[in-house]
Amino acid sequence: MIREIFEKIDKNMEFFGGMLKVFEIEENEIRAEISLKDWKISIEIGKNLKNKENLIRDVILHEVAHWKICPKDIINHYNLFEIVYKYFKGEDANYILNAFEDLIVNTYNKFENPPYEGQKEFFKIQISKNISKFYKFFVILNLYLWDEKESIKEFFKDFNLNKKEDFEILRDIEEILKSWNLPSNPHQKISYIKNSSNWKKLLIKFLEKCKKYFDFIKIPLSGFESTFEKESKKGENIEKYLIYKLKKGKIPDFLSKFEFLDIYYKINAPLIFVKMIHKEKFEIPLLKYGKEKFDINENSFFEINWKTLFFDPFSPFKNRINFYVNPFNHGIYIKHPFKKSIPDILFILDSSGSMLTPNLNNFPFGEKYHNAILGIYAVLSFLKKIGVAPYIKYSLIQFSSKTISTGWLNYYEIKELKKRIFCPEGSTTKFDVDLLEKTLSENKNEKFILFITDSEIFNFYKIKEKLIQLLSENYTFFFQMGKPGSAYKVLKNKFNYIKVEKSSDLYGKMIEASKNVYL
Amino acid sequence: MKTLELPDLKIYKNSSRILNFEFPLNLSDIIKISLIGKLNLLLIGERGEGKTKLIEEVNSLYFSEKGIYIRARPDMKLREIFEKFNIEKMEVELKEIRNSPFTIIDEINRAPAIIQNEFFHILDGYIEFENRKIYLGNGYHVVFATANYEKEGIFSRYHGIFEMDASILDRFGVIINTDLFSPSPLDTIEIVKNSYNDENKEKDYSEYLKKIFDEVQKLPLSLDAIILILYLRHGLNYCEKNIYNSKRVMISNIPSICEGCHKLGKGCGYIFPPSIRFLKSLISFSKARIFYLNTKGINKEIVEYNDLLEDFSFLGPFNGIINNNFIYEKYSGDFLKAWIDFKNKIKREIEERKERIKEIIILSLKGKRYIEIFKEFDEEWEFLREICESVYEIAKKEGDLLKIMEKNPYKFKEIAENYKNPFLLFMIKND
Repeated sequence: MIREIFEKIDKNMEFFGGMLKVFEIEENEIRAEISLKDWKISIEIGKNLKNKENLIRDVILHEVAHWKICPKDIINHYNLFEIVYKYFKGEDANYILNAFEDLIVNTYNKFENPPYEGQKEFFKIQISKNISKFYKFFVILNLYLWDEKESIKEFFKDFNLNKKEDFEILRDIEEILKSWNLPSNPHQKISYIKNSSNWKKLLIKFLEKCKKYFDFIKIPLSGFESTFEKESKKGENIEKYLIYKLKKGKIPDFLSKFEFLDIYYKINAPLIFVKMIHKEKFEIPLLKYGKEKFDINENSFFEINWKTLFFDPFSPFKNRINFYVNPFNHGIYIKHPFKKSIPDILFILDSSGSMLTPNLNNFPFGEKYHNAILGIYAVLSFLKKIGVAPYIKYSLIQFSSKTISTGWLNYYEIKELKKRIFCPEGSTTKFDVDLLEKTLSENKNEKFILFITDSEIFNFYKIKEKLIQLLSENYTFFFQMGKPGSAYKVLKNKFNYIKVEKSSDLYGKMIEASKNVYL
Repeated sequence: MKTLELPDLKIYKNSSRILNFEFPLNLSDIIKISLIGKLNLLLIGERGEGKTKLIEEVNSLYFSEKGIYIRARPDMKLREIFEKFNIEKMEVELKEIRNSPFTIIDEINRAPAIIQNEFFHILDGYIEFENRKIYLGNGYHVVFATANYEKEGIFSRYHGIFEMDASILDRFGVIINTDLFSPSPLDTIEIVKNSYNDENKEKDYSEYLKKIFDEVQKLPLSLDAIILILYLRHGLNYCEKNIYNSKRVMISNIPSICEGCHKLGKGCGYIFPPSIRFLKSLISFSKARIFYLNTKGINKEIVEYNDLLEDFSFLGPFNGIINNNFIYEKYSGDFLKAWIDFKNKIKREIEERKERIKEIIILSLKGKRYIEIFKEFDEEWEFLREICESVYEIAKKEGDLLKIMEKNPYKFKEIAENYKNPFLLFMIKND
């Protein structure tokens, strides 16, 4: 029966891309959710509710209307979420927003898919389990929107206008409706409430009033936890929303500066193609003879020699047919200092004024610093991609007039490193070589150091000997943006000294360096 | 009433209805329609169901056994295909090769993908040898092929079966899953009883088929039908996720890129626009079917959009237009059910806008343009704007094209030809 109901709704609502999954549960309950990703509806239904046609129909209609009418997609949802966030925080904000979206959806269904009696049944089931001030306010507001205010007693038997609480609920609801000023004609009312450009106005008045009713008991509104609530917590959806917002040049209020910058750089860090290996400088190629079978984890399809095929029980292709690839040219490393462990990573980042100016389109950092952050994020993402990220330690030394070190952090503490990056000093360029020595001495592992700077360090000649000695003991790449000063002639012969002509080339070079170390 | 001189199949009897729109059609009818529409046909199904026998019968019944038979094998070499066509002795036997109107490729998916690619040319009606194109047939050539089901995994019943490339499938105008249309018990008695012998060898109808094909192609398409074709090609391609508004430019990222998009709920990310080749085959099939119905006493002069839509849902399922995973997940693999829903979805889309679209086209022909009406046609329907704009621009210079078309069709033709406007030229050809 559930499938038949769904098929009918599917056709009427033009929900061709939607899908339904039904699960039977022991409890006397019905729960439903719609996935924001692929619009799959999941219903969990108690055995004794399986024949309640009205209830099932309206629960499905409710979920489908979240797709069809409100919020329709994550962008709309977050637009509303930003408004709610000014009044409520965290989980409460999600709950209240879902209540608002339910009001729109229920009103739409009441008039467009009558009789919608199953939704009433759903309210009753929820009320029988628990009751909160807010839920009472919410149900009565629904009834008002449906033009069914006379049926309040059907839900709340002890409802009495002589009671202060009940009186206030009605007064506030009438005030909301007065300010909403919805058309009385049902068709006009529907076309008004389903128009997303009107939602902001409706929501603000709703929020002003519902604040005083909101208690800590959150009675499930349309199911257990609304999918929109769930989805909105997922990072990937926030990222999608951010891309949208950034295109419009706005930063959402509900994110802290760190959260915003962190997501921004995660999204914008360049893509890494792990298979691109350039080791010419560092190894002598050794040619391996013969042929190897294609391994989907090791080879790309471009490497396949299509001429010969053979039977291979472990083939990634169908019918256990596989192909040969030319073997990988292994090499003898001539400059690689690591013998045993995977090296830990240290970023030494110049955060002086010249790195930060001029500002980049209302962005907090200048172009060079921006590209340095992109580079660091790209390297972090690369380490994650090749699977070494959880096994190494991370450190950042930031220098301007002061030199600051984060110390050595594990994978789960990277946030501290990122926070440090987003707080550049923007003053002169001095380097505290003792702090570098201390940081290096705190970690006995081999280290990969990426030194990023754009100008000459004022105290370079004082620290030269020690700096060179410390950096030489490790595998260091020195990235020089802008014009190099005379002091760097000294460095040129000591390390992998990389001149970066354009700051936008920096991250590419940082990735290449990382590949040489880790691959 | 038109007539068709093609005899019915004598050995392979199958009375199951394959298409039942306006007139019930069985496999024998579909074969004749494919022949008069000059459409390559592929029969897919379990082995031993008589697919090869059926095609051999077509070869003897309609082509007097002049067809070339290629049996695909996993170890097949490219050279063998050329040898089949006697390419090396081509200079002396060229005439014979050119005259071969029919090619049979048996068990096409037993050949590895790289060999299957060589069938591209044959399916397009020629072979390539030493950078020369050698056309097959004498103005008429079709390929009928068979393929076995791919069954993935270690429980696969047929080893040595390869996946078929979408471009190969696209070159078959008609693909039929014979398992869905099995012969009835009475048919089975006939099939078992009948056997092939030299008496079954009939005359070669290829010259006749060529003439009929030319006649079939003259059948016009209604304006609604043209709109449907444009919608299938451009409307179904619309995607708001990229600057080109095109699914085609990011086909490998669909539907993963569609996550969270409202239109995915309408099925957008699970549907791909058909290729031009497929649409040409569709038009050819519809024209051939209408012609065939005329020979059965059904009088129709024009291909309507309903004809095209029905034929679209018959020819589409094997062309990867609907995402397979989606069909497996939502419809438990029931392709027919998915296609019925899809067809109805398109029907609703067209019906909803049909009259308004005609209105906007007529206005454009009259040299009028209403921005407000134009605005109604956005997203999936935006392609109409370009067409109407081009017509409007001509009408602005030449006057009311509708009047000209009614009063002076020759002048209308001249205008269409002068401006080389494909839409106006299409109208002349089809209405």
